Amino acid sequence: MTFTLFCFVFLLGVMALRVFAGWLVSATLVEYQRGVLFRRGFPAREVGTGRYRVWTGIEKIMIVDTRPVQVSYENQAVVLRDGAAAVYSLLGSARVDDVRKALYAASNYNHVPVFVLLCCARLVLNDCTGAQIMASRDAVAEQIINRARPRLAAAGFELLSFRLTEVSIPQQRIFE
Amino acid sequence: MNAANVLELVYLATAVVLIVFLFRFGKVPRTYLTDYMRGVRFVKGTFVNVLGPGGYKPLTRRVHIEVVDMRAVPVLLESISYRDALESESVISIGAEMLVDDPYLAATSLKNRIGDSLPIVRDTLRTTVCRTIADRSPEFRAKVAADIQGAVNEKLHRMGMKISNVEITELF
Repeated sequence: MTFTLFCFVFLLGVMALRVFAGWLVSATLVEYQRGVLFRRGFPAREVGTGRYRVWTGIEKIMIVDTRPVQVSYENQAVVLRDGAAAVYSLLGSARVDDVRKALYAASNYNHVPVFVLLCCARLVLNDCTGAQIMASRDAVAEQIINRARPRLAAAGFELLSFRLTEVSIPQQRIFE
Repeated sequence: MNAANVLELVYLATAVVLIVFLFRFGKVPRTYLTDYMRGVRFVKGTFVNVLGPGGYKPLTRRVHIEVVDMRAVPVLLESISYRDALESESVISIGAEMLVDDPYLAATSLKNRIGDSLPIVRDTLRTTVCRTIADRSPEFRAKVAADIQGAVNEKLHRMGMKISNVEITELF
């Protein structure tokens, strides 16, 4: 009877611990994932590839995918400085470089490269004239990259590539 | 039936009751809030308080915790046409970050925090820029951006939302 009582008390203790205090669970991060370990709601440290044990209720690992995010937008219209309307298409990619910054940058960190590249492209093109774009499309793309790169870095991203695949001004079409 | 058997039965009955209660408590989900989240706690449907970072384990299903993400959501409003103060056709595009200002209001006033706030932002933006005369100078852009941010935040404040880092990406 003593043994039975001991077993019951032990079982109840384990269940109470699991319900009220939490339990040890494991999380596995594959090679393209990085994580931030949160302890009692606050970031404790960054974790890399591997298997980790965390105590639910106290700790949690928020996982970030570090694979490149592709950005591709076509037929975007913008008004140029001289009043002409241009249609442009862009293609770019970025990946997470600083996990903690990316996690805090936005509710969905995958939206950040899209937002930054679209904003910078429109800002630069709006400040150009049709003649400037015709003269050197590469210089315009370089301006966009120079604007986008520091903004992405501040959000924990590294810009991998960017190009304007098409810029179309009435009667003058520039294809890549 | 002697005293030992009765005692054993009592232990068994107590253990069964406790196990049943623990299973019931165990079914209530645990909520974990990081430092960029807040939890709006309702007890029996009534708002009680806003929870900060940490792990929470409600004891009964009468407690409901709604998680609110306080991080910014980047939004783009592009190619919005309007007539300026001189009745000239103009176009404006902005980029901004939308975020939660008051977790309780955001959780209870809006079904879709971003989707339901965007029409207000668009409408207020148009109303604000219609009173201006379009100018390409950087100072004018900065002033209009600040005016837009102030006007929009005044409208969104009562729904617990706000925008920040407004940037005019296109103006003609």
